[in-house]
Amino acid sequence: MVATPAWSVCNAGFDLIMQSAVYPVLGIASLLMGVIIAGVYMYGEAIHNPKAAVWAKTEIAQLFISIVFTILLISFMGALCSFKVADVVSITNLSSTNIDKNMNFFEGAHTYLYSAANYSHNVLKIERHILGGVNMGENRARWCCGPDCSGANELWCLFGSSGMSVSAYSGASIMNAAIGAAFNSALISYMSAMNFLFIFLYGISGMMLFLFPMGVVVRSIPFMRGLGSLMLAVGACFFIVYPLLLNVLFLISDSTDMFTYTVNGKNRIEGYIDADDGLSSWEFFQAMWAYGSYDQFEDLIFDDPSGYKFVNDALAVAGRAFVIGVFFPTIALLGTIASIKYVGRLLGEEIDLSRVVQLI
Amino acid sequence: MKKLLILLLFCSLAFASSEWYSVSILAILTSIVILIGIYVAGVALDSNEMKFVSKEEFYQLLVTLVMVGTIAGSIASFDNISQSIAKDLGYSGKTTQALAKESVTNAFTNLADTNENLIELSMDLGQEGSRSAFCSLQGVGFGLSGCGAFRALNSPLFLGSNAIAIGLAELESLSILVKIGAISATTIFLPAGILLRLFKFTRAAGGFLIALGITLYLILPLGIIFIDSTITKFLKDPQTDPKGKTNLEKYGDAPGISVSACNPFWIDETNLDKAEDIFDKMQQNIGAYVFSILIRATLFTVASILIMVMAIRYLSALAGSEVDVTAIAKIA
Repeated sequence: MVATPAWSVCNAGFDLIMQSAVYPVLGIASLLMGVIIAGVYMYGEAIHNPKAAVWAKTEIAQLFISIVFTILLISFMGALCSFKVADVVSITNLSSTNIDKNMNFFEGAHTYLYSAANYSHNVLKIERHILGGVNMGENRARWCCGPDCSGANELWCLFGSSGMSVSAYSGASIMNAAIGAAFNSALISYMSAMNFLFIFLYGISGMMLFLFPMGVVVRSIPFMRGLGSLMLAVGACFFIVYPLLLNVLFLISDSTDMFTYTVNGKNRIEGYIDADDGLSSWEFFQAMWAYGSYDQFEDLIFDDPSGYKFVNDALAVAGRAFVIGVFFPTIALLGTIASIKYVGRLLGEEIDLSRVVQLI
Repeated sequence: MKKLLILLLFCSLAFASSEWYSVSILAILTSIVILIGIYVAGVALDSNEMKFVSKEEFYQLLVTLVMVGTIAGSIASFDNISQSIAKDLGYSGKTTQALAKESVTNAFTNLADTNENLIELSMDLGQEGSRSAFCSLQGVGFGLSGCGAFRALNSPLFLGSNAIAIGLAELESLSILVKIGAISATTIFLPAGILLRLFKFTRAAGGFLIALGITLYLILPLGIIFIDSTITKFLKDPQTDPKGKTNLEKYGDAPGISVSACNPFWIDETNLDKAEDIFDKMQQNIGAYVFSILIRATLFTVASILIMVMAIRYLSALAGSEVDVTAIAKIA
């Protein structure tokens, strides 16, 4: 479990900000709008202008809706903080999951994105290790003049630098393009996961502190109900729907073993995450001394010399990292944006999100 | 007639797996409670609109119930159909999902073996092609690069390796989709879809989730098994061989190719002949490699995804739209 930051929801720091800043601002904003509406109503009555009175009656109802919506949403926070992953598991029967069931709603979503970034970073390390090994291998050349070289004769050694050169691993370059693409893919996955993690953290902390008070005020201003509804809808959806979808996708990805490095029942590449990069100069010298020219240093290029044979596994985990770090969080974000449309409709205005979607 | 239909519906529900069935029924009961609440509120407030809405939604609830029954009844049928299609493939799975998983794993393993053969060939060719010799006597010398012919063979291997990498990524993606369908369709997508479809406000989203659940759980695995079966039958059909040989089963296994050693000191045609021998072997097996990469990986995945996308499109239109109950009643 990865705990959410102290200044985010369900933590003491967040409660402090809510009590010291958000609630007073919300109260003042609501009161101010109430005073303005009352003033307009009294003005309408005084000059017998039915339009002003009708406007005031409409707006007071809308202000009431905004306040009720915001109060309900803030009350919902407490419930979500005590909502555990175990509750979701019990509903869905996804008992095979290894996720810590004591996490709350927001911790679950946070842990998913953190784990996605961590997994992508580990895959990045695996790809880099194999790519580095391949590059080292293909550039390694051996000069020999003894009988271990095919066709060479030890007599050649008598003539100074006469002999044969061979690059035993030059054919490893065939893997460069594939592993390079996997490396780039893992890099994109890592950056994407980090990006979505920051969006999520902003969504459960600073974003709503701004959107809720502003939404209540703006929604009551003439001709600006659409914008106010959008603010409230965006705040609500990033606060509830986005973490909800991330929790569901966390369960799906964990239940389908996507956070593992096992491919077709075999785990042959996890060791590369923290593996050494190869031999130091001194180790290399020692190896030369020990093995001489009779060995191609096959066992010494990597900690595990046969790393290049697991290129298939390395490609498979890069694909998983892409799904976990890019595809799933994007789906969650798209679902959130789609739900903003529903919530916006609930609040009384149709919101055209086609342009917002184009930004993704 | 209506009683008979309802009886048939509950018969199919009785055979449904308890995993998703209980959650779906829970969602339907929740919806019934909400609709009753709206109707009661309509009576209390004397609102004809609320009463009308609750009645209208109740019909949609019945349609959803029919959908649940149909899905529940279809699962066993799909398992039987899958097993009959896959009987020649040698898989041991008992359900559509297990058979599809075996099929994708088999394709992945096949392509991974092909990749390993290709890498081995590239390594051998690289080693032999990199050999060069140098003779020196008292500072005067000459270099010999007698293995250049071997290096020319590497280019097609690079192309093949890139295609295999894409194929492996495609098969891994397909494998992930199958796993997600097997585990999540009945536990998340279908129950959530059924719940959302019960409300007018979220009917489109519910319809999409139901379509996604049905497609991932039934249509995609069945499509995979069907395509796998077609490929296997193609390999076993002697009439499809373009060169008039007895069968195409040799295409099912891309073999490794051995490489003869090169001696850079030989500057006659010996090394060139060896390289040509290797090239001939590569030519002889190109069919198996192309089949392994383009048919068993790329076409297999693309066709499966195409089936999935089409099914989602049509099923979501079917499940997400308002169903005209009066028209159905007229048919009955």
